Amino acid sequence: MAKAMGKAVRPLFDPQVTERHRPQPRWVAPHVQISDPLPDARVEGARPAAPTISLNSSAVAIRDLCDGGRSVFQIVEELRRRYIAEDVELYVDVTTAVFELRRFGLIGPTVVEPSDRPPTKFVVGIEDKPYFHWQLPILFESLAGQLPEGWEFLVVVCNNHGPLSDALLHVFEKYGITHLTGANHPVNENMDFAGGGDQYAPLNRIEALRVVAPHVRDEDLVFLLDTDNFLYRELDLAVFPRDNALYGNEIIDHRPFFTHTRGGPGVDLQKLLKSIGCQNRLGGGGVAVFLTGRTVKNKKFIQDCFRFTQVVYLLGKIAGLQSRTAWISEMPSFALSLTANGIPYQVIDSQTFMVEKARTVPAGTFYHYYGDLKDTSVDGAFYDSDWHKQRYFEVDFLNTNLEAQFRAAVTPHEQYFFELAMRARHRLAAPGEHRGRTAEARN
Amino acid sequence: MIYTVFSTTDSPFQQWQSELLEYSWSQAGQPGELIRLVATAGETLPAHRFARTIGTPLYQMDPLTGDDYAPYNKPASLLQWLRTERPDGTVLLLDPDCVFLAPIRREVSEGHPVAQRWVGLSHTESAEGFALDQRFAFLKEHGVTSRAKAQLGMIPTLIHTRDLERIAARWLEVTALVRREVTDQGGRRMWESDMYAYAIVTAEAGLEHELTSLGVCTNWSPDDAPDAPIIHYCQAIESDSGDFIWSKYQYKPWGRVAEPRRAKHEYGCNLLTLLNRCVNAQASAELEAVRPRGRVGVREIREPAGMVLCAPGSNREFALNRTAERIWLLCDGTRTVHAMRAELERELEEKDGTLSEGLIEALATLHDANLVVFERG
Repeated sequence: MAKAMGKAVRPLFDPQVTERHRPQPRWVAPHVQISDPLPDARVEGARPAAPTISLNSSAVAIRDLCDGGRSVFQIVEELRRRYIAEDVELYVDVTTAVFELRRFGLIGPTVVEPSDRPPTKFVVGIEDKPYFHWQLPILFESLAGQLPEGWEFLVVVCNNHGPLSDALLHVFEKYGITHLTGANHPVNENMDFAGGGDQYAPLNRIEALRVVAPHVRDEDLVFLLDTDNFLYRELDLAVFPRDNALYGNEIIDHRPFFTHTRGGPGVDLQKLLKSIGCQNRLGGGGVAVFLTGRTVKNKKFIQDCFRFTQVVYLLGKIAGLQSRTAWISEMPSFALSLTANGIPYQVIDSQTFMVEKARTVPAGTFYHYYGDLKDTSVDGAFYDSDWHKQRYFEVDFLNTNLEAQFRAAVTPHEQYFFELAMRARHRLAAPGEHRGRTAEARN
Repeated sequence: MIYTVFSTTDSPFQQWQSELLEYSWSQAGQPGELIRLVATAGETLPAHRFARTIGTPLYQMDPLTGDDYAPYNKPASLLQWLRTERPDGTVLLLDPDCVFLAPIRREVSEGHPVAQRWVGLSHTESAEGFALDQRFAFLKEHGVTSRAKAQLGMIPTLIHTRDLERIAARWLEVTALVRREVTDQGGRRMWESDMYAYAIVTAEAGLEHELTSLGVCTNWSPDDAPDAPIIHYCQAIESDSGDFIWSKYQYKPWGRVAEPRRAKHEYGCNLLTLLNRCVNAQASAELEAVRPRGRVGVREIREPAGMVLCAPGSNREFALNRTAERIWLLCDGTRTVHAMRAELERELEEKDGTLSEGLIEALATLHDANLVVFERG
């Protein structure tokens, strides 16, 4: 028919994608307020009325959802169904409100299941530099509202016990993080004076263990991790060990050490142990480090971590390696020190503490976004992505166009990383009560 | 010959504005030459596809008073260009925060400039101060003929090169005087000092401007400059509900702006749509090789009117018409954008280029809505 009538009219190519606005009410920030009334001055001997706590409707909704059966993710999902809200503000509002509701005793520790694992202390050792001022909030944000009772973060600032920057204090205060200060070995100690000198920042990881030792109990577990980590979605308590454990890492497992990507000369770690009369087999793990409080309190173990780092570093330099190649010398030091001191540990072979780029990762993974152009010369920290941390060495990553990076992210876990950054920016910018603590008095 | 001329520094803030102006100049089919004057102390000039960049000395600080005021660069750079190149013709004078919606083909002769009416500026009864107000009366002590009435025009301005050459040095000088002597109600030096100085020196030179509708400022009523071919986005864009939805000061290039139709006025919608098209154009070459794929977790709802997509991890919902739905169904991670276009062209027997723009716009919108991911591997 169309042919008979001449040329057919082509359908108009006019694609339209239109946002549809739902009738739900707009989310308002939860508000938990305590009022402590004065006694009635007109009545002699009057007692003040009991303090009252008032909640707005959002705080009531969160309180009612904290029934012991829901995670933060499930609470957010439920609120998302009821209100028009951005996920970024919902997560920050829910975790903040949960903290307040627990503080006033209005809910129990019900948001996360009690753990049968030993109380675990997440420990990081850092410098007070912009590079860490944005990495830490992302890590904290990924765990906000997810840690069981008795689990906490301990941050060791390796600054020779100097004052902390306002920016870092602000991060600690917003997230309620306990911080301690430690020695700045990379600055104080020359790793290779014969070669003209080198500062080796990862010594701060070992210093962090040394500093937290008086603050943990024997039965606690210390989880030493790098700051360039984040938990991808829900925390899975089952992946946490109960005793000394190192997560397997092929860099450390490579024989000889230092030849992971480059080939060429390296250091035979097993022979290094044999040279001091140690016949125990070395386990190939060490980026994600779990140690009991008892082990961390073992001064010889800590001292030997430092010593093995120095020895491996210097042997690497003697073998002709560049400083940059030798900058992984602390990685095997934990396994070497445990092995040399006859302290039992297991090496866990799992992808939970991820150091490889992958297209998909399961929820519960601690993703280590270590990848950068200096390391690989080809691409970034995530699958099919140019993003890498070294771009933000002196720049506040949280103050960049996170929304555009969120949209450009290819994999769900990369997108979640940018969402965490947006949440961190939102939380740090919000006015509110500060609740950080310092444990320096016990240090 | 029409020279479209605008003055900038080499700051990133003015770089993206220059690129947007250049894009609109090209899209509108504006005749003549586009010239970007770049006041810089550097040796390299920014690159442009259509605009010719001319480096001029930085003149941000008045050498006598030390007053730091970037608009000094405008008359100083113009003076440098006019005296160096001796152009002859009509100058369409713009600021970098202007875009074309339509071409301006009108040329002017010497002594007959044309300008956009300065909304909010009017003459007073005061005989002194160029019929503006007493604040400007001091200028007579500096040899300025104060009997003339200030011109009530502003950019966009069409002015002949010989007229511009006649006033440029004086414009620079009077700008400095106005900066030094005239303050606003808060006692601050005025950011519009160069605009007042232009109004005064053109009056002094006997240049009577024809006031017309050339460019609408983004805090004006559309009736203030009906059918203006240029938008001057000096102020934030407002939505129907009174929220500010976009501002040049907050904009991070080259992000797209969600839903330009939220803008209260048509000129706001036009500006934001143009900006999105500029972003699309910049990205289109790069997009050719990517493989769009529906993001994990997107929920599809089939309704009689078409498909609705729910973005993962949020409560945002997006309605697709049939054409957009067809594009969505092609976003399975196996086809490049190039292949998608070829497939749609075969289906629709369409090859006149309009499909390409619609496809890129739809994909970019789906991507902005967090519904689609662009894979490169």
